[in-house]
Amino acid sequence: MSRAVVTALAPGVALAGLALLQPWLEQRMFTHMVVELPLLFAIGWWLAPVRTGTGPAWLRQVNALGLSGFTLALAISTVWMLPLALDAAVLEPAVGLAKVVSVVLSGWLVRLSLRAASVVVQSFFVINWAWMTATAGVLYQEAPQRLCSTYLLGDQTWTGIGLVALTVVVIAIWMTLAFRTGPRGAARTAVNNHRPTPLPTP
Amino acid sequence: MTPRMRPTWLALAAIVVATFCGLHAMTHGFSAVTSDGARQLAIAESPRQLPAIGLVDSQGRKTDLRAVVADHPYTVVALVYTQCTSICLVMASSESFLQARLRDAGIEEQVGLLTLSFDPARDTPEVLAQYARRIKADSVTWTIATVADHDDLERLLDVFDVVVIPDGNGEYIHNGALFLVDGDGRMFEALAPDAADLAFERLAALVRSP
Repeated sequence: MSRAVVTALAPGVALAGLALLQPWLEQRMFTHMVVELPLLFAIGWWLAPVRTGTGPAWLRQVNALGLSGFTLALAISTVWMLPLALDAAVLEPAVGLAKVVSVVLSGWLVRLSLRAASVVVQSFFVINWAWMTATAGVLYQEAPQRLCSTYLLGDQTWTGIGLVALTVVVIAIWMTLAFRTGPRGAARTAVNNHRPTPLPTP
Repeated sequence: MTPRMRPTWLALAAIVVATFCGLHAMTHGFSAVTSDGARQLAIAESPRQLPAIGLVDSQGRKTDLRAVVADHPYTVVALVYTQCTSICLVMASSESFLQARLRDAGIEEQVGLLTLSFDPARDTPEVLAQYARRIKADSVTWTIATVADHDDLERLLDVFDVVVIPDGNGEYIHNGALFLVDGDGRMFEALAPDAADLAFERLAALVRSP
């Protein structure tokens, strides 16, 4: 099998592997939120390799500076932080499927949008997400009541700790990516992104 | 607004509006983030009719869900299993508190209590009778029962939106609430498992001015 075929199939195989592990992953709130959701995001990220640039033409048209992509990904992330959404994903197969599709989509969108966005735009969304996730993490640790019908209180505390840790990891990864080329390199990227791109011909 | 940015702004506006509407619908107008909270609001907005489900009580008598709630103008229902060492204890102490408060207020004949077990395999009438003694339930006002036919369990849990997941060690992971039902079998409110004082206030007000 050629390398290109392997590259194309790999995310699908990873997704199938994750589907097999799903019952185990969703038995605990910690593995559901801190392992399964980030892995789904990573698979989406994987679907947007370097050669895809800032994505297909239709997306580039509506995603200048990565604004729409980041906003949609932030909205998706917000929804799956709600305890009632998490419960529904466990109990109702249709909601579970919507979760998989939306989180994979958000991973794909974020990687494409990062390439289209300046460091300023990137930092706005990444820091907003981190703030929201860390707050949810602290709330999960402090809530005296069980928030998810399907999960236990002790599990909720661990999930809170996991979410705060996840925030730290994501900020570290983003800073490494954003400042890899140094602040000047990042600024140059931003300038390049402001150059008008020719509209696609139908 | 440069023409090149226009599609992006439109997409952005659509995403923001869709997210707002979606979250508004999911959280019942931004007032519930948990499934229990959402259920409480859903029941308060549109009360549910309890179906007739065959029950067997702690004295081994065959009865029916509708018949039990018809015994009193109002009934407080809780779903538990007797081996439970967590949230069911909270609900049992809530009902116990209600039993005492209702008696003190002289309205024990207007408000019945009903504890339903969702573990009929282990909670046989004999086990339920032991449980009734342990929690000092007054058999006149407080019925402790489980489904007569195990096949009805699913239907019972569905009506109350109670989720029960076996944890693999003989215990269950489950949610709960104090459900307020009227004599016609209309469930009109679901309160938090520990909200016994609130349940008393609601019921006392209803009994005094129905």
